[in-house]
Amino acid sequence: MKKRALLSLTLVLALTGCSALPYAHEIDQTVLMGVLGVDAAPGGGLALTAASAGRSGAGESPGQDPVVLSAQAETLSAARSQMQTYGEQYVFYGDIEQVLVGEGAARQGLEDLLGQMVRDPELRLESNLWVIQGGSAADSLFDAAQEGGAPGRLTALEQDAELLGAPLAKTAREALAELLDNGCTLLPALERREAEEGQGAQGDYVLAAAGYALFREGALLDFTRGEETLGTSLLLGRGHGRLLAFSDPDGGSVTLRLTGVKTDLEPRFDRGALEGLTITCRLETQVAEFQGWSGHLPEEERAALEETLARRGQRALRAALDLFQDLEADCVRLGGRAALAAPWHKEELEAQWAAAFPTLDISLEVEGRVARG
Amino acid sequence: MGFFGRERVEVPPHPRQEPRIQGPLTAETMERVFTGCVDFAQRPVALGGVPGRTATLCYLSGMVKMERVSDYILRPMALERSLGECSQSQAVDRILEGALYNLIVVERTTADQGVFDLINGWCLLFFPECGRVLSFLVQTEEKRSISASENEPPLKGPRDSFVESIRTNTSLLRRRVRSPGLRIKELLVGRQTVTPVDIVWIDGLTNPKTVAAVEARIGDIDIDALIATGNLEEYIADDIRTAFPTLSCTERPDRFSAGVIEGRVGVLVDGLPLGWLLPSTLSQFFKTPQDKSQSWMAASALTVLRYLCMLITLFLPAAYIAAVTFHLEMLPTKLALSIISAKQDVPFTTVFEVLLMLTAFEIIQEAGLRLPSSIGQTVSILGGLVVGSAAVEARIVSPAVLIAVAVAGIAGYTMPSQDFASALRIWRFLLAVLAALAGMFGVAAGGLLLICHLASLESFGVAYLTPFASGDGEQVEGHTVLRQPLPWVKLREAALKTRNRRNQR
Repeated sequence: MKKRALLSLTLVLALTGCSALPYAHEIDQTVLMGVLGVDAAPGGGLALTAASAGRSGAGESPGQDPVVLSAQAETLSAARSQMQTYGEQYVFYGDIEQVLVGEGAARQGLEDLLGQMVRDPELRLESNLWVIQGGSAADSLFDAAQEGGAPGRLTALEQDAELLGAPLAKTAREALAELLDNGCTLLPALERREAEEGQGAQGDYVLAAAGYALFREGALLDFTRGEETLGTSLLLGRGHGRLLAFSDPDGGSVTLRLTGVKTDLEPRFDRGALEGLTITCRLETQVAEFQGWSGHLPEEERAALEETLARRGQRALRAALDLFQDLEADCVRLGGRAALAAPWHKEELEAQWAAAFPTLDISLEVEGRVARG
Repeated sequence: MGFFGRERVEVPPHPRQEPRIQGPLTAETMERVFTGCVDFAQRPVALGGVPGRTATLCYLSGMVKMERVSDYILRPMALERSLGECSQSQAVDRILEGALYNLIVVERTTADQGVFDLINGWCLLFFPECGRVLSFLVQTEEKRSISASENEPPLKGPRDSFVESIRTNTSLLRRRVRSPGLRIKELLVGRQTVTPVDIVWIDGLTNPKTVAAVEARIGDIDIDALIATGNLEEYIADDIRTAFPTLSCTERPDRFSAGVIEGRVGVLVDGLPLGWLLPSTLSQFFKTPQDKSQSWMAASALTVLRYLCMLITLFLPAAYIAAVTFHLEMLPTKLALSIISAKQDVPFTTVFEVLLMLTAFEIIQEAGLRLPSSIGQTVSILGGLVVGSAAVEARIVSPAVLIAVAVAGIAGYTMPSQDFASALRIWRFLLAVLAALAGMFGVAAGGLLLICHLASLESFGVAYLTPFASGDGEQVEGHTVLRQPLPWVKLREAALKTRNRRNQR
């Protein structure tokens, strides 16, 4: 009886798929990849680059320098399989926290990459996605390997973005959800540029934040630049910590730090037809640094500064909105947010938004505040 | 056909002989029974000092207190002249009425009674003319004094513990449970040891079915000797195909008394300084006597900690194997890198390392227990240093494995019951092997197996996982994981089916 029960249990387990047990890998024979780079290969297909973090030694065990592997194939999985054959160590992708996408690959589309991240048991949808503006992910990863490893550099960029109001990292899950929901999304962009003084030796390259990469239907459309980047951040209600410098003709200058951004949307309707959108933005700042004034900022100067701040905000918002309307890409989900602001108009908004957005009348009301003290 | 092709020889049954001693109750019979026993002694005593009117006194030296025999039996018999002047039958009657000072005196009629009286420290007085026999309780009171429990050390509470004498133990119980409803029924177990086993309960409170079940199971025990705890536990437990204890035992009379008052049936065994409480459920093994002596919040926190430690001691080595060997994605990157660094140059696989360290841990523990305490501590320290530090320095094991195994081992020591901790140790190995075979799937399967196994256990009709898995829809009060303030706990455990659930106003 017991033998029969055991046999039945084994069969049942086999039928349920439990027969496919995971494979064992000794951890010391494993390379933990921390960053994945995806580029468009020159001859078609994909070029995949994976980089590990450097490992410090423990006791008498020596550490390990960062490892960068690269392979080209038609598909991501084929490229990964190819990398697996490079050495006896098992290449593990489960620790990948950052994924760099070269501009070429981004213009081809993110569907393959995101689909692979959804299906693959090792790759995580919680990994951050970045787009390399005007360059390839492979170059960035090989450069970073010489500087101590790409994972560390990207983690620093991610943390700096939160502190300094730069474009925030976005996970693959968030990007995928936005693409499925809205058809558009934006990702933080990085640029590979020559190191400036204090950033490394002459001729070295570093990764630096470079605005947002705008996607529609999974493919890269364009990047934000200058004021467009600030405007995008303000539309998203972000930008805390960002420094805004102002100067006056008398030679004085003041630097404000954004401490709060509150952006509200209100759709305007005329007999059920979407007529326009009003965006109200309130910018809270603190004086980080000023020159030309002694002691403290005079009250009249502060009022003037608030006006200047409001104009700067309006200019940035307008630049960003113009870009989005030109590209016909609602990357900051204005439609969805407007529907949330006026839920009684949700159905009309959903029906009219896509057609109306490129030419929609968007009015801006920006208020700037500079804290006393 | 048995193992290795040997013929299995059927051993004939061994029926108990009743009565054990054949023949009449006489001094000659006693002499025959104890032939060759150097401690058997007999001497004639002249009643009232009258020559020719003699009775015979028999006893086992070492079992009786000589001063009592001399002062309370021999002296009054010699001095009381009236005993020599009447017939022996009248003398017996007069002794039964109090002519001798001894507190307990009974008349015996069978050889079995006489023999076991001698063995239990009584002395027999044979009156040959009338054929009557009197038995006097004069046993020696040499026993270990009552001291604090070593295995269940009291922090804030009484400092007495059970001793080897069953009567002392029942007196410790009586001093706490002064209810006249306290019942103590004695059974004898063991053909050779004839050990008194006392069943204790409170009449009108305890479920009589449980009392009857305990009595029936103890009555069914027909073994040679009841010397070790297993001689009782394995014969009355519902299921012995488990590593988990289904009978909780304690050295502390306060805990034993509390259990009896809760409505459990207590069992005491002569020669064992322990008391058993039946039925027992899983949650019993996470409680300590001092839980009720400290703040309910602290007691609750500590109980939660014990449950957490149970999970750690069971699953940590298995989870380590599964995470490091099969599911690296479970580990934060920095931790994984740290483990990789530490494991460099270690020649063994992770599975082997963990099993090796678990085995070494058990060896050190066993060696420490078997040796005298002073040497045992030294062995433990040396073993810990050698197996721990030296093994890591020699790259035999990685520090992470050492930490995982040590944490699991130390977590196991938080279990108040050593029997329960031993069961967890066995399952820890099993889960580690399953993790080595199938990673977290194996651990999950092992956990499922463990839950199924625990759910299949019962203790005297009460599900082992009560009240987690079998509450019978009854209101749960008291102390399972969190201890409620005592004024709020107005009901006894429903699973015990006590006659009176209310325990306070």
